[in-house]
Amino acid sequence: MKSMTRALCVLAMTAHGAFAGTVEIDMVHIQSNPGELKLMDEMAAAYEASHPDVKIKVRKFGEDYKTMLSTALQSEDAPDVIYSWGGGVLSDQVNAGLLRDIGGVLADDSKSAVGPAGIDAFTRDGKLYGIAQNVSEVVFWYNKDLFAKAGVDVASMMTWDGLLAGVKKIKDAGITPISLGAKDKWTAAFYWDYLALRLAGKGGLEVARTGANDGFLAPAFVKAGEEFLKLAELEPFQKGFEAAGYASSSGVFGDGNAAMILMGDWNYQESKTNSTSGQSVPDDKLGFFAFPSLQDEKGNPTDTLGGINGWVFSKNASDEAVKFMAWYQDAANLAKFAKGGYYIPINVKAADSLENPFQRQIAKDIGASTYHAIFFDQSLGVNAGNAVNDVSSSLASKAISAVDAAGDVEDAMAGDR
Amino acid sequence: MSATTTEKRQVPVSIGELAGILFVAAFVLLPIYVTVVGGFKTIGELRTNPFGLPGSWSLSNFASIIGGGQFPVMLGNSLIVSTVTVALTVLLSSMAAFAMVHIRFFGRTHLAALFTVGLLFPVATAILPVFLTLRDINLLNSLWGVILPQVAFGLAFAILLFRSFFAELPKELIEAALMDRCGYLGIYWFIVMPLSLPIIATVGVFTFITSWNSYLLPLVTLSSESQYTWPLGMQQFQGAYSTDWPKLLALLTLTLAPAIGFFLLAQRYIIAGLTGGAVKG
Amino acid sequence: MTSTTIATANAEAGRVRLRINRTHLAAIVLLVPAVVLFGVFVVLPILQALRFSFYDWNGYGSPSKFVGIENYIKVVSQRHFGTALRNTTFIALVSLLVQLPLALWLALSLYRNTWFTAFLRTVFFLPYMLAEIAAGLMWNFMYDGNYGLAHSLADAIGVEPKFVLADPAWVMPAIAVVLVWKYFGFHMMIYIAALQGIPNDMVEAARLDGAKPWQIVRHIKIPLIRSALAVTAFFAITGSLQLFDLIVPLTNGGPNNASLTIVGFLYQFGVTRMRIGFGSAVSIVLFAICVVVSIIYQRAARIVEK
Repeated sequence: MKSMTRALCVLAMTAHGAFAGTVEIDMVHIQSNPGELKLMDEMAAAYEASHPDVKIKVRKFGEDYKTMLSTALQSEDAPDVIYSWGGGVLSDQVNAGLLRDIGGVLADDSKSAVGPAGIDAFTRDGKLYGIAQNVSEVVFWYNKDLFAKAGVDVASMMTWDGLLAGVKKIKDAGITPISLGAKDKWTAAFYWDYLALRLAGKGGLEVARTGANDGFLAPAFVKAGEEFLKLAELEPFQKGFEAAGYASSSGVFGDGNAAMILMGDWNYQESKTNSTSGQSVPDDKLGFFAFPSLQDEKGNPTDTLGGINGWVFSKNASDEAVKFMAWYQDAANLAKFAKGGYYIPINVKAADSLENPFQRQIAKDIGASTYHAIFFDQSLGVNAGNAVNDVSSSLASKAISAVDAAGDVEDAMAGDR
Repeated sequence: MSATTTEKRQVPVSIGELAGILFVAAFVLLPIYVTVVGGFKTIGELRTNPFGLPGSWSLSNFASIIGGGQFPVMLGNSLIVSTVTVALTVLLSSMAAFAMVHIRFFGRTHLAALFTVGLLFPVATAILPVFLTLRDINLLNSLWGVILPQVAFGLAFAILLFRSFFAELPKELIEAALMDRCGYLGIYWFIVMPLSLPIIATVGVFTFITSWNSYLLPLVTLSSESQYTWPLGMQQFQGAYSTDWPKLLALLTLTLAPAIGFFLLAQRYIIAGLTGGAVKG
Repeated sequence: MTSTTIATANAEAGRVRLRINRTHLAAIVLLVPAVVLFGVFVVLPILQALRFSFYDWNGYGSPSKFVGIENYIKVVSQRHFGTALRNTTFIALVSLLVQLPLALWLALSLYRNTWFTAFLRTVFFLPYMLAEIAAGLMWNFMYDGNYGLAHSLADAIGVEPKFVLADPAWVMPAIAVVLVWKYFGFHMMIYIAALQGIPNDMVEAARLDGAKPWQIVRHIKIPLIRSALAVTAFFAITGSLQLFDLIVPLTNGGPNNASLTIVGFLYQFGVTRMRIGFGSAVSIVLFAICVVVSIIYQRAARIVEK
């Protein structure tokens, strides 16, 4: 009944809007895949065709502006619909009163379509601020040929010690074990994130965020740094990794010049784009495995690291903007994006349209995840998140001690609590 | 040495010195040469033979950049920003410098000193407050948000140049005009400015170079790609194609061309400016 | 004509007050645009930065958490701040001790006008015209151990290529090379312009007195272009204090913050982390350094003048 009145309300307002002129929806994002961009424009055009009173502006923001977006939100002409990674950044935006609570406007169907995890990721203090769109997971991608050449069995990579042994073996065979682009510090942060997630577990992470029990200086986080240093001691990364960015590192893997890369599901596409041949490692030679488990870990081997991304609405966004995004996110439309392999939709029905076997498998893994931790540089907020990135790249080149690394993260976090 | 006077005055350049000069010339030209030829090569060719001439002069990298849509947009944005910045800087700084040099009013030495402080305060230092100011007056993600602070930060240097130029204008000229009851505004516009074309050109040229090349201010001000200026676009391009060196080098070659052309056109004013204003400043 | 005008002016003494007012009006009209713009975007930000530097603020809403001088303590005790100071000092020293002498030497050899010197001057000035971002990208390629000069050199001598930008020990010297490459032509042009202003007969007279070329340089030319030397020193120092754009495409402050400059530090730890208070404290420290340096500079310049 309640939603019925709301729907009527929306209708009334839409009608009103029609009299008053057109409603403009300003949508900003940072997607870069040409196919996806084209599809986004097509969707906007299709909606405009069926809703003559709506004008949609799809704008691409530059990658450098992730941090600036928060402040751009505070300007008068803030965009209406904003691509978001959730996490601590979202909390900051909500606390500053910059976002719109859409719980009352979004239909129940749309809410149930994203599942409890999707709702959770965009809820703060019981209010819903966004629509989840896609999920991602960070895994170890590996080159089957190079593993075979080095005589390494992927099954031995289930444990951290096994991974360290495998890295040594690959290195002895004259092959670069791991590709890393530490100039983009977040690529190194995946190691620290995952080690911390395994060692501290969901509970440990939640405690650390409150600052109790020494916060991020707790033993589990220092140990995460120590284990990362153990890997770095083996000098597993390609030459010059400190000066290489992500694109370059995904190219190194794609060219078959490194046996592994710890990276999100998106790397499947990126390694193609960035490899010299444009082909990357052929599908039958390509595999992935979950981040290994460690001794004495408090987390679960089936905990995963990744993202739940979606769209949030600035405080002046119209109901029309929410309605458009609900339509944009319905299963039939998302299926088009899934079909293109641009991302893994959180909507399970749409995920069925994934054609790529790797993506299908990853979607299944995330579905079975015991705890899907959001990338730390998002979940911890801008300041502490960047601190994690910073110390991780330093750990990768053995330029900082594990205690100092944990200390820097805790210092940054302490400022934000 | 022959006996003609001109050659007698010539400082003899020893073989060693000549070799040194040519070495420096090679040092300067090598990256530029490698960039230009690199844009024609394939990635494999670049790896095996970065310094030689390309096997074939393939224009595909250049074509894909120029046809890429972003190229003309970024070029247009940079042109708008630089031209408007130059116009405003020249106008505002010459007006202020004229008043400071030729009109007696209370506090003019303090005002001049205040502007000099601007020389010590680079835009980089002020970037956070400037950003917040732009946000408050709603100029984020607009080209004006780049232009106005750029003009403001360029004023200090430009006023310095104009002041030293105006100070050398014959005082009698201004006085005579005043006696003719030509107002100060009239003197500024109809008498002083036409006499100041050389210094206007110098200020304009240096302001243009600084504005055309500026990175930090557009970086924090402009957030959507359709507003990007050229240097921002380049940096963005590197992020997206960091492995595609031939394409990047082609892009850099396209950046070089206008710079060289502009230098050849403006060379006179650059040297004049360096002798005239800057040295005395 | 002038005398009649004066006579008229005297005769109309009663209108003098009006003229003063109009004079002031003219001054206001001429000054206001520049003063307003300068006030809004230069003076106000300095004052704002000063205020923000005493707050813990992430840029949302308005600053409310007053923390006194805590931000300054944090800046000074931040582990990378020392690196940034060291690097900036290093850059300033290279600019003064390598770049300026190189520029002076070339200027002395090339200041006469022939087609050959004109050509070389154009060549040497070219890097100054290029955007910092473009210059940085070019050298990023030169230094790339897989493709560039570093690769070819290593190949030629049969060793593993060195990734200089990935090595904390090599990264600053590598950046210094780019810096010299980019800016020495600018300083050279200033010297050339000054040298061309030296009256020929002075040099000629000294030569006739039997002065050797290096004596002429040392005792006549260099003293006569003293003010040009002072200006380039000023540009070299302030430029070094502000260096940032060139480093972004080269290393972005890496590896592991080994190539951070003060502005890079400000950007990395203030801007991208949205810590307005902390970043403002860095701004104020940098501003203070600029002021101190310029006072020292002026003192030094005065001593040299004497």
